[in-house]
Amino acid sequence: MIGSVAGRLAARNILRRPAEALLVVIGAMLGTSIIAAALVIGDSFDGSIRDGARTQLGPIDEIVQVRAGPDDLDRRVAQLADRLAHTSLRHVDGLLTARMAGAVLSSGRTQDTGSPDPNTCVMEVSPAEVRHFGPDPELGGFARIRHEPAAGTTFMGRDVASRLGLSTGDTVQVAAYGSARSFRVTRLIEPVGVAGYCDALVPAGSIAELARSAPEGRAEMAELPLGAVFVSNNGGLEDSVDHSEQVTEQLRAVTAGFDAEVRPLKADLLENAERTGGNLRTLFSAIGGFSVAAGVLLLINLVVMLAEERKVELGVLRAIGLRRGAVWRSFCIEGFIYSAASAVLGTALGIGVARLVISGAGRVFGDPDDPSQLLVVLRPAALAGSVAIGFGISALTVAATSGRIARLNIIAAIRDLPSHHVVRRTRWATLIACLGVAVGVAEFAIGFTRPSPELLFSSPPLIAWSTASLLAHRLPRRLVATTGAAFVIAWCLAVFPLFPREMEQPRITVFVEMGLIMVAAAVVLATNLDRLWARLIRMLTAHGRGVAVHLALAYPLARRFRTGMLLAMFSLVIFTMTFLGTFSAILGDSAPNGARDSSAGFDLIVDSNPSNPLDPTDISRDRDVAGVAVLVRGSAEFTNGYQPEPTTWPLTGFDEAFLGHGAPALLARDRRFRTDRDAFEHVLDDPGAIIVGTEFLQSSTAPATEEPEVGDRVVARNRSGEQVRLRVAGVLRSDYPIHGALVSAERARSLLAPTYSENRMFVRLQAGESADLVARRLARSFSNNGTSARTFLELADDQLSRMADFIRLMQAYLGFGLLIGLAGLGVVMVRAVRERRREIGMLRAMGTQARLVRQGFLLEAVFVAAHAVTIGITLALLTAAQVVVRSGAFSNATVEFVVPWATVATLVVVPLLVTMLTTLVPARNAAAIRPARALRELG
Amino acid sequence: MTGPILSARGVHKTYRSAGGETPALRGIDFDLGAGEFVTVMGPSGNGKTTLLNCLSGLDGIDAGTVVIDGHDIHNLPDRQRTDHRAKRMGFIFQAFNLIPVFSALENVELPMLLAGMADRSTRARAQELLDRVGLGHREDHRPAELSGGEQQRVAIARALVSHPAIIWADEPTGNLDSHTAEDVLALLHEVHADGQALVLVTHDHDIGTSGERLVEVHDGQITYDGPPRP
Ligand SMILES: Nc1ncnc2c1ncn2[C@@H]1O[C@H](COP(=O)(O)OP(=O)(O)O)[C@@H](O)[C@H]1O
Ligand SMILES: [Mg+2]
Repeated sequence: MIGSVAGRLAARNILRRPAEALLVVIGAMLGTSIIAAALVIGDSFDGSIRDGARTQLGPIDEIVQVRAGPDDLDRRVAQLADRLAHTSLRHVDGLLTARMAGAVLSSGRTQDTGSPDPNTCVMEVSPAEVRHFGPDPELGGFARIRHEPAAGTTFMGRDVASRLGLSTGDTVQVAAYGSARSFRVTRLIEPVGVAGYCDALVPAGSIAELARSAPEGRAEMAELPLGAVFVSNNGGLEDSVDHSEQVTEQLRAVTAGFDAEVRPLKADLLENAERTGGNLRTLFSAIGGFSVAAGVLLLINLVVMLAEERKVELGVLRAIGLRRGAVWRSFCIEGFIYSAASAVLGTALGIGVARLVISGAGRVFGDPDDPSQLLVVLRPAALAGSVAIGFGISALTVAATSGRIARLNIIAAIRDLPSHHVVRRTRWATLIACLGVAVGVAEFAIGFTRPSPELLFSSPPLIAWSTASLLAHRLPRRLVATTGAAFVIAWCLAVFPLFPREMEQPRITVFVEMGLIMVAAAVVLATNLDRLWARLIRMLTAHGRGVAVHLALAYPLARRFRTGMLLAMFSLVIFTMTFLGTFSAILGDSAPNGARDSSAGFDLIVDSNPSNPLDPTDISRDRDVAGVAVLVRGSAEFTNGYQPEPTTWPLTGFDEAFLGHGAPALLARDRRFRTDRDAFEHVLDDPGAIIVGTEFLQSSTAPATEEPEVGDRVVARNRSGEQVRLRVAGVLRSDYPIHGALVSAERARSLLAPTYSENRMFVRLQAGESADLVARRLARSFSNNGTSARTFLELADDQLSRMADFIRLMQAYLGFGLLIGLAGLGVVMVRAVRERRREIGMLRAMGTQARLVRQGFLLEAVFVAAHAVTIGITLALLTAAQVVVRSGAFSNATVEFVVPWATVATLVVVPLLVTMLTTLVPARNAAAIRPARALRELG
Repeated sequence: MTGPILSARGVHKTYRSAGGETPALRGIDFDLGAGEFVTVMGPSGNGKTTLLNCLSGLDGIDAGTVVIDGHDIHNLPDRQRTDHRAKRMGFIFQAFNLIPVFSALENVELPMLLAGMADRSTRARAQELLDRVGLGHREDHRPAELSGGEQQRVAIARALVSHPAIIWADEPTGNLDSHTAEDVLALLHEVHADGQALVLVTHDHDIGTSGERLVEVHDGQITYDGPPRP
């Protein structure tokens, strides 16, 4: 068993004060719950997207697709299928041909349906073939579907049907290629596997018939029907992707001459799931890291308070021969028990927090009609991980803190002296400090040359800290501490202007690092300003006022370590909240700018279904419309200086009409051009010129390291593999319409053929028309085209508000951290009252009014909270300003820094108010202490 | 001689706790004249501390009256009673009860601040008292950095600083060695010489007989009140 005395001591201590034990457990629990929540959120996003493998793909692993007009479609698909069927493909267990087309589905009832889903499609496939496709008919979703829909009928996905308010027996309008057909819904099918790939199953030949009946000239503008061969790899639902790379390669080789596109659908989907889950996990852990740090500080505080309370008895135990190791062990055993309990409870709480966040996220990202899209995924490994990490962090904190406590001086303890950490300068400490300086210098050198923002940024603080600890014994401590801290803060504020090139494109981790370091430095600074406060108080009391202030500030100013911990904990939380608040304010504020930058003088952006695009002449004939510019859209493969991998990127073509009312704003343009418009004019004339967005060819997996610049060489490849060399003539300031890159319309058609569509137009209205009203009217009148008409402000708002909503969600998640801060302060105040009972008794005996005692406690808490609020808000605003100016965090938008006054006001008022409220009870208890009673109690 | 500054009649006090009722004071009649030096003696657990607490108004009573400066202090609201304490009384306890986060000087200053007597001379007055108890050179030290005897001397300086009319001392030498105790006692005698009334609780016979008047408490009742008996 455990060293018996240590073990017994630990057990006694837990049992003696169960309420106190509970407080420690709760304190430690909050940090764990943040970790657990981050892990569960990551898994849930991963799992929810991954679930698409089941609902949208089933046995499908790859697709080989061709685009063709109605007369060629059947032949092309048959050729392709034939070729594949007669090749022995390794790791493949099934092939399935299908024909698909984008189409607008509607109930036919006149109603304002809102913006239609641009991705709805219809499919022709043989149920018998699906049943034999892949390892398991259930996977394909056609296990119970025996035959095709009869002529004039359709089988509809249950989800789409419910969205449109349709059930069996109803009629659905299918519009594509400028014409429309009605189908009677005879069956609702589960959107699973192949049945979930498109939204409705139509009888064979329907797509070709729709395309054939297209009015003259319309078919060219639309995206052509799609002929596809689905491929199923060996293996089950998810492990089949193991072969995906090989199979894709084979398919590409086999279909080389067919002008076909091969896409590893399932592998892409799973990769996306993993990436999104991972990104969110990182994001939430990084931001949650602040709360975890706050939780650790709270725990240190609690352990120190526990130890303080037991100092005398520990001193006596040490005096009568209990070894230092045993003291430490007893604390550790006690701490480990608390840690274990808190790790388990914290994980459970974390699951709850994650649930809340996910249901919030469902509202942010999901379909408002279908809130069940995001699943809560609880992986045993993640939960075990959270328990382990939570336990690890708490146990380590307790062990380290107790280690320090166990070094207590016996005499000092028995006499209840404050532990003046007259740390003896050991050779080790000197060595570590020297090492710190050396490592810091090396880090700086590497950070500068590589360049690595993380290393460069964190090295001077490390050097400062190490130097300070070396100097602390040769120079006045206070001087060393304040100078060091001031230097570190100054460095944080100056690093971006000083090293603009090296600090370019910092990752979120840099700002997390920056926040932690600045808060730490500010706290050191604040706790060393006690002299200043003492002087202020003297001035107050000299005039016979401020006894309450005197009493209130004496404790926090005297107990610097504790106050420092408390301050750091609280400041961190306020810091993060303000930081995020600033972001959402900036986003909200930047929409009008973004709208102006992208509009090119137009009023509306009108999109329609690629298979059934709006006819521009219909729009330009409208009485409210003054001008229309049609854009050619598709995506091509590009490479450039920093992106050697061929990368598919959106490409948009424009013509003269696009420049009829101005031009989109550019961030940079070739010096030759006097105006932004000149640059666009040039692109119209020069087929070798391109204008790109700021995110051009940046991979979504890796953080952006390089940005496009004017003069960059870009190589584009068309379907037949021809290469076209282009030169960047300008960089867009904002790209809310997601043009990707802009070239002349002809250039775009030649690059994108045959798969482009002209389903977007910019529309200029007659002066004085209300853009919102016209937008709604157009969407209604052309609902058969799946028309969505929005103002540019709506467009920008839409994109920004998603991000802002998401940030708000994170804020809510962090509100949890604020809870840690506030609860921590409350706990510390409760403990403080107990600790000081005798002193309060004496004060009361000496004639201190109860009111004064109460005010003193309230003031003390508010003093600490106000300090923390000041530190947190100030530093967060400064850091956020840096981010806005320096980082590419808002790459497709150009933003300006704004102070989020509402958030700032909330973060001043709420913490102070809650602090007052939580302190009210302990303060009352303190005021109610009866002197005669308290003075009898022994220390 | 003018009338007593404190006059107690029929004071009863019973402690009620989970363990039952403990009658601690059973009908106390007591007068204290201005500038009197009274020692209270009796075996441990017989109600000396309770007597001090109830007469000074630190603790409530069950029956009887305690009139100080013309006020029945147990009928005053807490606010006024507290105010009265701040202005008219000083306390010295066995455990020194200094405020650990204040320096010696700040501890001594505190009663003046509480009594609303703070002005430019506050600090000088506190320094003067620390000098008087022989700790002028330790004014910036915190209590934990002082010896027991030194702490008690700071506590005495603190009790005296606002010129209280009555000083209550509950076994002030109980935690001190005999030599230090003598120093402290000498100090208290000086105080008395200044004309302040002093009520000193002790179970030490020598100290008990050093005053002008001795009160003996047995079982919650005053069994002797008169000149010290050898
Ligand atoms: N809070 C209390 N609850 C119950 N009994 C008490 C309390 N305080 C003191 N007593 C009892 O009252 C009696 C008198 O105590 P006290 O006045 O402290 O005696 P002395 O000071 O003479 O030693 C003792 O029996 C003691 O046990
Ligand atoms: Mg006693």
